[in-house]
This record gives sequence, structure tokens and C-alpha cells, in this order.
Amino acid sequence: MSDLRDMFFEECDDLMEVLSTGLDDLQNGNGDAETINAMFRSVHSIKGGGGAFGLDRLINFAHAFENVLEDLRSEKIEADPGLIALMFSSFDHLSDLVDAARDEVDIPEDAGASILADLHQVSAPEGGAGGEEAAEVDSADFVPLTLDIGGDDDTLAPLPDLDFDLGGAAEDSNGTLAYVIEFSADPGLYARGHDPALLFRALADLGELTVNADTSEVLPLNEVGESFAGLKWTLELIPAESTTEDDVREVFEFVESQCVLDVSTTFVEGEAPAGLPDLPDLDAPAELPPLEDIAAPEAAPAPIAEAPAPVAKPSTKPAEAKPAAAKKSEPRNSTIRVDLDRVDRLINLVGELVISEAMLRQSMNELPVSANSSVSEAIGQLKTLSGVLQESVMAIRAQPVRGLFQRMSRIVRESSRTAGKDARMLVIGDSTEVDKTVTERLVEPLTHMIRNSVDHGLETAEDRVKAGKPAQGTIKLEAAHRSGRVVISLSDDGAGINREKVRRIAEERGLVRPEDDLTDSDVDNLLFRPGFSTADAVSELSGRGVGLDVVRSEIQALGGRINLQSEPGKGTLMTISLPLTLAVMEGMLVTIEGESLVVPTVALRETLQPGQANVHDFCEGDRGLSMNGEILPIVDLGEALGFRRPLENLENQALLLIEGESGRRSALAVDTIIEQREVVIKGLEQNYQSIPGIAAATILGNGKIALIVDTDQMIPAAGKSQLSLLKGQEHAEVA
Amino acid sequence: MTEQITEEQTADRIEIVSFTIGEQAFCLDIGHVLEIRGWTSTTTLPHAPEYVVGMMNLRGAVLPVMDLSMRLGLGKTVPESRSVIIIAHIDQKSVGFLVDAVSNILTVNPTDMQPTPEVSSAKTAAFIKGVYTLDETIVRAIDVHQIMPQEKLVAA
Repeated sequence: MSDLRDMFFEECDDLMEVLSTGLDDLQNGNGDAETINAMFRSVHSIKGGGGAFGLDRLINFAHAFENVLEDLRSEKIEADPGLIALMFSSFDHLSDLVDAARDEVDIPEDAGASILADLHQVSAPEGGAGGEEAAEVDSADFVPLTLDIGGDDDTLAPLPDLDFDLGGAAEDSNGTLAYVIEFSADPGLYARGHDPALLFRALADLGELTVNADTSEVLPLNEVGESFAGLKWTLELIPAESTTEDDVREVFEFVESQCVLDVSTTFVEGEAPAGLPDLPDLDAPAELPPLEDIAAPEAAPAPIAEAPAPVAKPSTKPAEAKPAAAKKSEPRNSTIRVDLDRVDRLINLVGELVISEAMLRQSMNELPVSANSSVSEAIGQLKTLSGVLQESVMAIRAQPVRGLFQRMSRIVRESSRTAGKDARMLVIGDSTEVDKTVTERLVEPLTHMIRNSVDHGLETAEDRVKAGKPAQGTIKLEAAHRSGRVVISLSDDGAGINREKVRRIAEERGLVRPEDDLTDSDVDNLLFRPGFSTADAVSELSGRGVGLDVVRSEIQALGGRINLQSEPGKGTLMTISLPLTLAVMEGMLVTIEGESLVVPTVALRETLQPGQANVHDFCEGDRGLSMNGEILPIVDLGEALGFRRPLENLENQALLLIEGESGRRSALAVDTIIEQREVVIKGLEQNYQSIPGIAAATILGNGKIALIVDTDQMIPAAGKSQLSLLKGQEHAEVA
Repeated sequence: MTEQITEEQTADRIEIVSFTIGEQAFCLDIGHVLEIRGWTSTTTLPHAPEYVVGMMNLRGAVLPVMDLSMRLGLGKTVPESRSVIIIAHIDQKSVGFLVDAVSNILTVNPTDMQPTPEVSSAKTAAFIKGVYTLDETIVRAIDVHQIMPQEKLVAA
């Protein structure tokens, strides 16, 4: 039962996405009749599932929403901006109701009441008084509706499994649920020694069974040849409590290809039969046998032995239904739902395979094997294959950021309402694919950033008009792939960062001293400092003690970087750069004191061999590298990680020029640079804990572990006060 | 049914893995022990407590190896080829313990565990939850939850 429930809510996610896409299309003027149809179907399906689980508030609201969409579909009303706004609010509320139902929490009674009233208002002319509708929306009403939609060729009831439960909900008021099974056997069934009687006996174990045989097509005995057929049965099963439709179908599992089978639900002693003729259509698409199998008797739609139609009719009817079936089932069949754990296991295994392959290759290199031998060739092929396999497995987890962006559109709507500002959301590149884990973990940081943009970034409408900007602010969310990473940028056309204010607050909090010389970008980056908030007062939207520092640490935890650019009066741009997957990355393998380490290539800008470099000494053993007229700090990685004492000179060291998230650079001194390679990331926290200066670990071809350097922690922050603070943090971590 | 039997067994009898560090005998509840391996070289960790020898690769999993002798204040172990790593699973984490030798697997009655003598040092009190007396020897039962590296002790 809980499985069905989970399935329903998973479906809801998809349906809400369809709904949201439809709304966006309508808003942008791209909507057509099919858009509205799709939206209608989504709401209807949500209502249907809600009915099955007795979610009254959800059904009630979905019903009102559905009525409006129905009116829109039949062109009784028009999708003007007011209605679209109402539908957006309805969408938000519906999504709340679904969430509340999923988490089994209550939401305030009056929540959404005004939206509901508005919906009734809009659809009132047709739907009658609100009271009547409310009465209409009980589960009893629900069955005819489903049947109705079953008859609609465009419409697929997307939760076939729920149909049963749906009936269950209606049981009290509308009679007992029963399965009507239409069954006729091909000659092949008998030829293989199956006996329908045995099947029926098995069915009888599942509940109370009534069998009706239709003998009208049975040939006289003297005409029966080898291909004996013609018997047709209509069975009615009143199932025992735990029997599901799957159980019923399972009985016929072994004869599926040699019979014509149609299972549908009905209610005995109820009014349902009125809609019954449509029923077979409801499930027909999934169960239609191949055309050639239907040459023989056909499952008559009528439940009782009616004189079957001539042979011509059976062959045309499935032919008609078939294209519809193909059309309906195609989008459903193109995806499967898989537990994320299983995919993770697969990804881990492939990671192991890649490592083993590297080990094999490495040991091959040590053997006296010619490069042209068949062994090397096979190994080359293995390498290609494991590479392709890895890519394909990673692609399983990739999904478009659309869902995430749609959630963010909602955040913009809500927060602009709360802040009393007029804002619209512009979304670009929402088909960009990113690892599912990455999108999931972006929800919180992005929500926070968007609230910030609306609350702090955008000005009020009057101020905007005064500044010569359109009254409506624009929040732009954009995703794109850039050199093996995904870049998500969030920009607003607001007032930009008030640097004076930021600086003043920073001085008040002792983060910087008045005499410190900070660049604009330094000031902007102060916003990422822990506990920093520019909000004058704790507003409803932001300033709840969670600052951008949390956003940044969450992004960093994903292996990403966040960058902030602001132009006074023009707006603020935040750029998040993330790896496509959390499992594999590109790194430069280096050694220090015999230990292997990996420096992520993302941060790497250049490598310098000793001699090429122009190294200058400063006091206290500090060293700088002059590059293109700029002097960069040199960090001895071995010393920073505590592997050795500071070196007297760096003549024999190789230097790696790295750039951090904030654009700051420094040079890392290492003993030797080995090569660039892909590494499988292994977290350290799982069995140990986080280590300062180290991001993760990986396993090399020889089975040894190499640590992956956290480059951002290896870049001394510019500006003395910041540097000292960073050092202070380090001390705090050490203490 | 088999489960019940096991439960009954664990109720009054438990199995322990005994091992030695220097001259002293210690033990762990076998339920924590995943496997016992020979010494393999480890990767040094920066900013790690001295008793964390490094990280090892256990069939693709990366886990820390702790010098149990160092952790118990018995001096640093110089690992050699005869040294043993006990892989244990404690509090959702896997960890390797570097010890001198594994001696036996014994069945004991938990109620036979005697309290640690009061003369104990702070370390003994923290890491040894009691002792079993077996024939002539005393086997010190390690409190595995205490022995795991605590987050705030790092680089202390």
C-alpha cells in the first residue's frame, strides 16, 4: 500500500512539472489547446490519485482548479493575465497540498481559501454554486469521471494501478469492486496443454468468481478441426481484500501470448454499469495483443454474452485503437524509476572497474609486451569500453535542471509577494543536465540566493521608476555547460551591492579595519563571511541568521565555486560553477615527500618547472612568484599539509598556478608533477572526518590512496585582515 | 528460528577477538570485526592525530588505520610485515586497528567482565570498559565507541 502511495507522489512530481511547464507556456503566449489539455490531465490525475488516498482537501482544491481548466479548454473563459496569475497561485497551493499530504502534515485550514474562492468565482457560471460543487467532489463522484476520461482518446489515466484503489475508495457508496475479465483462448493455448479451467480455478482462489461462457461462436463438433477455438468467457471476480489487479493478471502470465485478455474494474450493485462500455478502452492500450492474435474471437466490450460482432469488426477495432495505444504509452515507457541507491551502487562499481582497468594497464606497462600485441589491443579496447561505460552510467543520474528552476520560479513569486515587490523570473537553459544529487542539493542555496535577490537586490517599484528602470524587476536564472562543468548564474537588475554599507557593517563587526584598502570585489566578498547580513532588520524573507556563508559552504561541499559581481544601480550577478557529477573529476597527480596527491584541474591554470619561475623571498620565509608583472604568493604544499619543514629554496620544486573561487591566485610548490588523469572521488567523511586542506581521496592504479587537495584552502586571502581571520579560523579548527 | 538462537546466544554468551599489543592482551566484540588483514602501507594524512597511521584502500573503500598502541598510550607501533590490521565497523564507520598479533576467538559470558581496576589512568578509564580473566591472563575489553577518533580531537 505504501508503495502505491509513494508511486502516486512520485507521479505528482511529474504531473506538477507538466502543469508548471504549461503555465509558463501560457504566460509566454506559447500555449495552445494541447497545453491546456495537458494541464487539465495533470490536475485531473492528481485529483484521481488524491481520491484513492482520501485526501479530501487536495481533491476539493484540484476539482476547483480542474473546473477552471475545463472552462479554459472549452473556451468558455480566456487565459488573460489575471487568470494566469490565479493559476500560478493555484499551482503553488496545489503543490503545498501535495507536499502536505506526502509528509502527512496539516496545513492551516484557511490556507488557499481565497484562491479556492477565486477559482470558484471564475468557473462559477458553468459549475453552479460552490455548495453544489463541494457536494460533487466526494469520492463517489470520482468513478464516473475516470471512466469519462478513459473514453477520451487523448487522455491516458496515468496511474493505472491506482484505478483499483480508487474504486476501493468508492466502495462504500457505490457497491463492491469487481474485476471483469474477458478471456478467449487462441488455438495455441490448447496446443501447449494449458487448460482455461485451471486458470479459472486459480482465479477463484483470489475471491468470489462468476464465470460466463459465450458459446455462440463455437463450431459444430463435426466442423472442429485442429484449430479448435471459439469459446469465450466473461468472468467476474469480487476480489478478496488483498487481491490486486496484478494478482489477477499474474494468473494469466503464462498464457499471455496465446489469448485475448482484458481486465477491467467495475462495481456490482452500483450505478457504475452506466459507464461500463468505456471501461475496456481504459486498459486496452496496455493489453492489446498483437494484431495477428486477434483474428480469432474478440473480447466483446459488453460484459454479458451478447451476440459477438462479425469477424470484420474485431480486426478493425484493435487497428483503430492501436495507434492511440502507441501514442499514449510511448512517453510512459521511455523512462523508468530506479532507486537512487541502486544507481549509486552501479556508479561505485564502475568506479572500481575504472580503477582496476588502470591497475591492469599499469602492470601491463611493466611487462615486456610489445605495443602491437593482441594483449595491448585488448587492453586498449577495455579502456575505451570502461570509459564509455562510465560515461553512460553517469548519464543515468543526469537530469535537466528544469524541475529545480521551476521550484525557483515559485520562490520568486512567493518572495516578491511577501516583499511587496513586482518581480518576474526569466529562465534560460533549463534543459541543461546535471547530476541529480547536485540539483537536489542546490535547492537550499538557490532558494536563499533568490530570496536575497528579491529582498536586498531589487528596489521597490517607485524607486525603480525613479531610477529609470521598468517597475517590474527581473530575476534571471541561467544554466549552461562550460568546459566540463555546469555554470548556474543568478542575476537581478536591482540596485547592486551597497558597498559603503557593507564596509560599514564589516568595520562594526571588526571584520576589517577602517584603514584597510579593499577593492570593490573584496568588499562584495565580505558578504560571504559568516554571520554577515546587510539587512537592517530581520525581515520575513531573509536575515534569519543564515547568511551567504552557508550558501558558499554548501556550494563548496558540492565541489563548486561561487562568485559574486555587482554593479551599483545595475544589479548583481552570482555565478555558481559546479562539477557535472560528484563521482569523478579531472586532476593533476603530483608527489610530495613520496606521497601522491591530486590537485583538481578545475583550479589549475598553469604549471611551471623550476628555473622558469621567478621566485622572490620575503620576510618570515614567505615567497612570491612574479608572473606577468603580478606577484603571487607561493604555498609550499608539503609544508602546508605538515609533511615537511619549510624548504630552504624552491629550486627543485615544480609550481602549480591555481586560481580559487574568488579569482585569487597562488602557486603551489610540489616535488614532481606526474600526469593529468581522471580520478574517482572517495569521500573521507564516510569513515573518518574532514581534513583541513584536503577535499577527498582517490585510489590510484596501484591500489594506493592519493589525497585530493582542497585548492581553495591553499590560497591565502588578499587583504591582511582577511588573511589573519583565515588564520584565526585555522587556529580555531586546530584547537 | 536461527535468529532466535543467535539472540539467545548473544544474550548470555558473546564471542570476542583477542589480540596483543606489546605484552598486553586486549579484545573486541566480534560483532564489530569485519575482517583481519596483514599490514599494507597507508597514505599519510595531514593534520591527523599521531595515532592515525593513515588511510588504506579496502577494496575501493577508503578508511583510516589507527595505531591502537599509540591510542592507548602504549607507545608508537612500527608496522612490519607481521603486523595485523583488524577492520572493524563502529558507529556506521569502518576503521582499521593496527595491532601486533591476533591471538584467539573466545566465547565469554558478558557478566564475567570485571570492572577496570580503579588504579587506572585517564586513558585506561576512557578506553577500557572492563577485563576478562581467562586462565592466567587478563584480557582488556576495549570500548570501541570511545576509541574512535573524536572530531574535536583532530590535530590537538
